[in-house]
Amino acid sequence: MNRAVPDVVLEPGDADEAAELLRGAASNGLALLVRGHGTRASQGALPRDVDAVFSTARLGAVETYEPGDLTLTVGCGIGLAALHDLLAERGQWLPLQAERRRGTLGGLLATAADGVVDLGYGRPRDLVLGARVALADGLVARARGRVVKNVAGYDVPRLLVGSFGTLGALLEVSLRVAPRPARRTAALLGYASVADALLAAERVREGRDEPVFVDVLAGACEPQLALGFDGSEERVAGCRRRAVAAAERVGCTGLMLLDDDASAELRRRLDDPVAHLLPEDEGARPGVVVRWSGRPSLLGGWLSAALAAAERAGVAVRADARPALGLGFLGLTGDDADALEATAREVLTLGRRRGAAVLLAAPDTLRGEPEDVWGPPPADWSLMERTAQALDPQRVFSCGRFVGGL
Amino acid sequence: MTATPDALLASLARRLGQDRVLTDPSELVVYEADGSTMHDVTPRAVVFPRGTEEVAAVVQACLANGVAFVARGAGTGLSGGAMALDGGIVVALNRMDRILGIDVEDRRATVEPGVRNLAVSEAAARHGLFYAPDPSSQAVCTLGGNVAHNSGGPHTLKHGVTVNHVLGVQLVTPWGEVVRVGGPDRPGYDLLALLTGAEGTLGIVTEVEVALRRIPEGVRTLLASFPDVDRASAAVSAIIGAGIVPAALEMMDDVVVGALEAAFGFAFPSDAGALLLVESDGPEPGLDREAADVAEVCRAHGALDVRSADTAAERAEVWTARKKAFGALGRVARHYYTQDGVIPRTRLPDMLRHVREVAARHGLRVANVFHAGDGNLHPCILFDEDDAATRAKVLEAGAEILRHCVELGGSLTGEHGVGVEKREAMALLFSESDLELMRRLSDAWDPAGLCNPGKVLPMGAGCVELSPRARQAAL
Repeated sequence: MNRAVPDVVLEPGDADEAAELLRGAASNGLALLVRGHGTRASQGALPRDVDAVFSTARLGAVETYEPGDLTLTVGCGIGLAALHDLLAERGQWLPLQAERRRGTLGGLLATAADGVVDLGYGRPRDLVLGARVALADGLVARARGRVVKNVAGYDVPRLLVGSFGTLGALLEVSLRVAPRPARRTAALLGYASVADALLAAERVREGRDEPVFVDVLAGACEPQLALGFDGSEERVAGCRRRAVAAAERVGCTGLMLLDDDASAELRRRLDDPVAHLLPEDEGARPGVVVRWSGRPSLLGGWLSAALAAAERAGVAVRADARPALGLGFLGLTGDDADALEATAREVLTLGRRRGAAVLLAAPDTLRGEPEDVWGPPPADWSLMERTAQALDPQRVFSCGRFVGGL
Repeated sequence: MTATPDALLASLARRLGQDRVLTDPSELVVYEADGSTMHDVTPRAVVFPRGTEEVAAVVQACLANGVAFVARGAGTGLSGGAMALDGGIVVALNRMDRILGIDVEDRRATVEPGVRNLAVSEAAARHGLFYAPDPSSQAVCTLGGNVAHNSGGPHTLKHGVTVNHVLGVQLVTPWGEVVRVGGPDRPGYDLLALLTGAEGTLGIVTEVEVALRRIPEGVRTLLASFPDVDRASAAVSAIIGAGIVPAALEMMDDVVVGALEAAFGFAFPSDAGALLLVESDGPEPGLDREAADVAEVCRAHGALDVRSADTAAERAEVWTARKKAFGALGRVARHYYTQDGVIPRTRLPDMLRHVREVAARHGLRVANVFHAGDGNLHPCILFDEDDAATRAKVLEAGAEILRHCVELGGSLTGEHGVGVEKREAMALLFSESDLELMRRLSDAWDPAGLCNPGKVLPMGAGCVELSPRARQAAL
């Protein structure tokens, strides 16, 4: 089985070239894989054999940036580092993985990547206003637009966000950006158990201090609660004081208040769950990252069962749970490949009983089948298939990475 | 072999009960139009299903007979989206109005599509929660209609529109199947985003799960009056430029000020040419400072007066002024026609000048009440004589305003939808390729072409006959 990335790369410099290259590829019956910097290329199931890569590398031009409107229209091939630098020059930011800054904007959107401050500012889908996309037969089309409120026509941009490049290629997007908050602080609290840390997170959630992140960290060290606050000096000082007080009442074992610099360091660590839970500085040990999503009230049950399973198997584990979002990430590492794989499967099975559990990172042996990575096709699978059939009937972009083998 | 339409009505009466199938022309009149369209068309019949299974049965019967069907909530839509074209059946969902559950721990509510928007927040209030999108019609409009139109409202500037709050729906597909469409966090395509705002052309939603939020701890409401809309617009840009994201930023022009004074006896400074309503909400820490900063920016941009609504009663009065502004216009004109265009916020002064020029050229008056923070305009064209010549002028003026919105990089509709009203105007905003992509989706999801046909996408020549009419102003 040859699943190497092919040498043939289609690299358009604008929409017209994209259309022409895609028409050429279609007439030759080529199967394509959309790619930016390749940062997230190991996500999803192993792609089937593809004939060529459709690269967004030359599609990174800034079309319009209107700081006064808080909107930006830019090519999807732009690197996140360049994008964040551009916005910072005008005192603005795009809160999506603003600390980690790896890969392209297109890759972040196509994988609907999680970021540390999603609770405060929204997920990728919430910040996308419009898009220009290229379909497999060379049709290039815009949908929605670059104004912050718009209901003209179908919401194709959001449909493409998180589609892993399987419906078409995102060429350009319009985004809602935000003024950079004056202060960005954080607090870290220690707890004797994960249950206590989760309870403290719940106390914070019951308050009305609008934290931008509430993360329960476990595994590598004693369980911790990480809280983030953005806004004016008065806002962050007052809200942090109250939220910390509420969290401390749940038998906290230690407290650290982080200023903006230390907070930035913490945010950088939490921004990308894969990088956080499989730290590169600990060597290239084989690892697995599982992402659980579902009702917030079910998160604790999965998390404690998953941590216990890892402990039983003697597999190193660390976790980052975001109770307010109903999200949990679990990283497993170990040199015993069989134990690692068995534990990963157990954690996935536990997660899929009441919620969704997917693999964000895993050795190839675990990524062979879409169902291993994504779980069984969801209830609305037939509608997804119908949608793929409408936009990509020849399945040019359906390389098998996504749900149900799309 | 398809049965005759009469056979369809008979089968629907058997399935739902005779009292749930309206066919009497005198009763159908109510369902000819929605909230404010300039057009109407009589449906073949109106049916009132009691649940998902009955909706699916109606859809299947319509498919078997080749008859179009369209879902309808409270009928408050403003673009003709719930009109039954092609001799279709109206599937009225306003009697499916049960709140099925409020999950306090997970902060979500599950409701039938006929539940009123405000009823969700009322039911959630005792748990300290609310449903954020708040269209001006929220006391009447339904969640099903909100999903169809991706409804917004004054507070969407900070809290987002319907699509940001829908967690899942039960859908009767255009081919009559019942499917639960999961939230944005289940693996797979974001079909909820596709369905929200699709104006009922991709199926009928029979159950909605929405996110509830914690009621903000504090609220500060300011009402600033300015000599003219240009200075008020400059203040809006300066507030946003200062890094402040208010919960709401609403503007009303001099015509509305006059109407509010006449209707409700509000007293504003005599030379007020524009009102700006700015509301901040969130945690108490820092909230007074934010309100003070907003007031300062307003004064620096020539505000004549900045009032703070400090009590719940005062806030209610300020919001009454905003939410009843359309009603108050009944004091100054017999009829009105509301537009819904969007522009990049920094182009507000340019756009408002254009609106005034267009109105003057056609000899019409226009009032502006709009969501200034997100550049969503609602120019309201006022007229007294309900005759064909005036109606033609009003429609032309509305079209010119929309064209300018598109020229400035904006959109045809921010929250009212395309419906019938703007479907031909879609060609102003979108190229043939853009429309082709949308058609591919529509064709795949509605292969029979019977699910609310004639909406959203342009038909070109030879479309359905509509009889224009003007809407009698309220009051």
